Amino acid sequence: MCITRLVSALLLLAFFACTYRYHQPLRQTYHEANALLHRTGPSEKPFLKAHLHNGDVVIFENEWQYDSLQMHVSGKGRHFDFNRRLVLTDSLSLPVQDVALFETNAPEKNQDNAQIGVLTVVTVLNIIGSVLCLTTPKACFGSCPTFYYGPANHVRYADAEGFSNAIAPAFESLDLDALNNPAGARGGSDFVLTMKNEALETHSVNTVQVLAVPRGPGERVHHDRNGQFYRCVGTDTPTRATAPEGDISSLLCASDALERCTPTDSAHLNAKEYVYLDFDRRQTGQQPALLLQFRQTLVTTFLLYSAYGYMGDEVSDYLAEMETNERVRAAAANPFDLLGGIRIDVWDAQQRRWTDAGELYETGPIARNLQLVPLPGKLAGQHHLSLRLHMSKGLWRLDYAALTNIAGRATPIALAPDCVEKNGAENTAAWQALLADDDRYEVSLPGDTYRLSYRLPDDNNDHELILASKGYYLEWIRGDWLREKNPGKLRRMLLNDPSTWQSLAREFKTIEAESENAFWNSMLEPNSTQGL
Amino acid sequence: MKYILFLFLMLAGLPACTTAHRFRTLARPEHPGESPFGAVLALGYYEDQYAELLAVNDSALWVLAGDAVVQIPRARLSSMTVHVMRTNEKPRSTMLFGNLNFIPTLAHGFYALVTGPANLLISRAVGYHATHGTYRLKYPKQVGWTELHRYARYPQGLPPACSPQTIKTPGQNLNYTLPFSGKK
Repeated sequence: MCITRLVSALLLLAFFACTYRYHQPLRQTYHEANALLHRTGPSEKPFLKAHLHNGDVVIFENEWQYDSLQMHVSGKGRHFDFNRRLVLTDSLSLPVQDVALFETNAPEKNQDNAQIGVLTVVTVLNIIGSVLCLTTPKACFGSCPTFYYGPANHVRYADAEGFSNAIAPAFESLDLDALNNPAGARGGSDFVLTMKNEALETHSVNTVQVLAVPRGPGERVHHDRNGQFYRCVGTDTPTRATAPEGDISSLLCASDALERCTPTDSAHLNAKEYVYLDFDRRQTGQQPALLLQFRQTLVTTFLLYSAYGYMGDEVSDYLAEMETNERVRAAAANPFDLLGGIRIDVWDAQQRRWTDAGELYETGPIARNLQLVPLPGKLAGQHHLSLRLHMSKGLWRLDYAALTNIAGRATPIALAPDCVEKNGAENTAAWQALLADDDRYEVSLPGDTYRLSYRLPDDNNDHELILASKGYYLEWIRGDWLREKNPGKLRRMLLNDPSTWQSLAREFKTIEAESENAFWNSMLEPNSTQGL
Repeated sequence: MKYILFLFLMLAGLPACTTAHRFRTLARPEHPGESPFGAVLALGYYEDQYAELLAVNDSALWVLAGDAVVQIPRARLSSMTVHVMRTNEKPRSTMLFGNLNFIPTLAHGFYALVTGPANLLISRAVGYHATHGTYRLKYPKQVGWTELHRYARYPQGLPPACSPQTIKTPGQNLNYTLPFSGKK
């Protein structure tokens, strides 16, 4: 934003810095030679022009002299005829009686320096931008399809991002994302979703469905990592939330985009940390569950693009290998396994130890995910609960944590789009491709925008809406990445070699501070690349 | 990337082909006496007609418009702009600097989608002002009729020996080139 304002200011300056008013006293005319010399000498009246009666003009250089006895003006000069044809360039001596009028001029301000100054500022900004981009090439990226259902359409406020971990056809998978829609999704009404390709990627979208689950007053429906849906009632925010840096309860008490995040460890990207949550439940008797809203930082994106860089110009070979070789495919998942998800432990007061309650995971740094982890049913009657989140340091952003009570399972109704518009025009082919999980794909390119309309089930209920998207995407390989080709390092990275991961940790540390800004500023506007 | 580079080069090259033809006879700011020609007047309702000011008397002025000498009665002139001299000594250097300015944007990655056009706009704007920028006066607000003669080719009045038929457009039908062509 700051850069945009600066550029705008420079543009305005450039456009309007050009109204130059001439200062009249800088040009004077004299009918008499004596008047010319009356007050000052030649050094103060340079650029003497003698306009002759016949229309000719003689332009003297600065060293001119007036001989009052001979009544001559002399000096080195140029003589032009009345058509301003150059007649003579020499030392000239001009009788004053031939002169009709003398004219003197003083210099005006040369604007070269001011304009060079403007360009210098722009150049400095350009060079700073270049250095930033060249030192953090992996910060120039995007990530998977983004979805919007509200008025916001900036990537920072995306309501969901689809299949972020499906980086190749072999990784195609169904991705569930809670749309976290407020009450009002009434049966029979239309629900409109916008899908965008805001990165330099090719998206192959198999299907985009909306899962609708009726919900009663005060009821919400959430899903867990395994795609199970739960009707939930009530929420209790943490009475205490502590992390290594101290009390973080104010950051986790509401879904407000105020997120808790720490820098990565400078030596190990998979260094773990704990966050402790204490809850006092207002209502007991039902199975508790932890609700967590979270998203990733840019660590996984950095790793993904590092891997592409190490593949160099053999990216397509590696991707083809992933399609056909199960071992390679498994190796590609190793780094993500090493980093892990958000493990949830619950304190067992009877056995006085932490017990594993489950794990949350969702790839992607853009949209915040709201997921649920059911806690053991034996805790249903327990008023006070202590939980522990165990995760890689600097990998996750936590926005909201709460306990809720599971009222029962829910079965969603899958809705296919009724109508699909692509870049502002109804597109039957895109609609047919997105209808169902089949072998038809809608291919979207950077800048493409889709408007998908759904008709909600014809009942009188309010509905919880969950996005179900399936597909994969192919990253566009940037020229900068090719220079980093290093198959050996790629292999060591995928085999989780400790020294390689230490080097990756150091590399990420050097760009960590800048990468967030670079990432958000790198997103494309709709159709911004058309015509390239 | 090839196409972006090509586009940039095309756009960057465009202004280099344009010259401020209508102001080519005006002096440079640090060499105000170098031009033997008169100021350039911007005339008409939209001030989009340009002519060199030849001479002024009490009731009319003479201009060289194209290759014709035209007499304009004072009563018919309600306003005009008098372009006295250029604002830049080395407009070509400034323009070259502006044109080279887009090179670092090639390394901006996605940013180039914003910084590239922004750079082009800024460098084009600065380049335009470098080649077309003039010191000017508005008539009658900033310069009165009695002062107009100072900016004429013939401040002493139209020479008796000169007839409209004998006055030629600078550089036209004459066996000489202009003493400066804007390339300095």
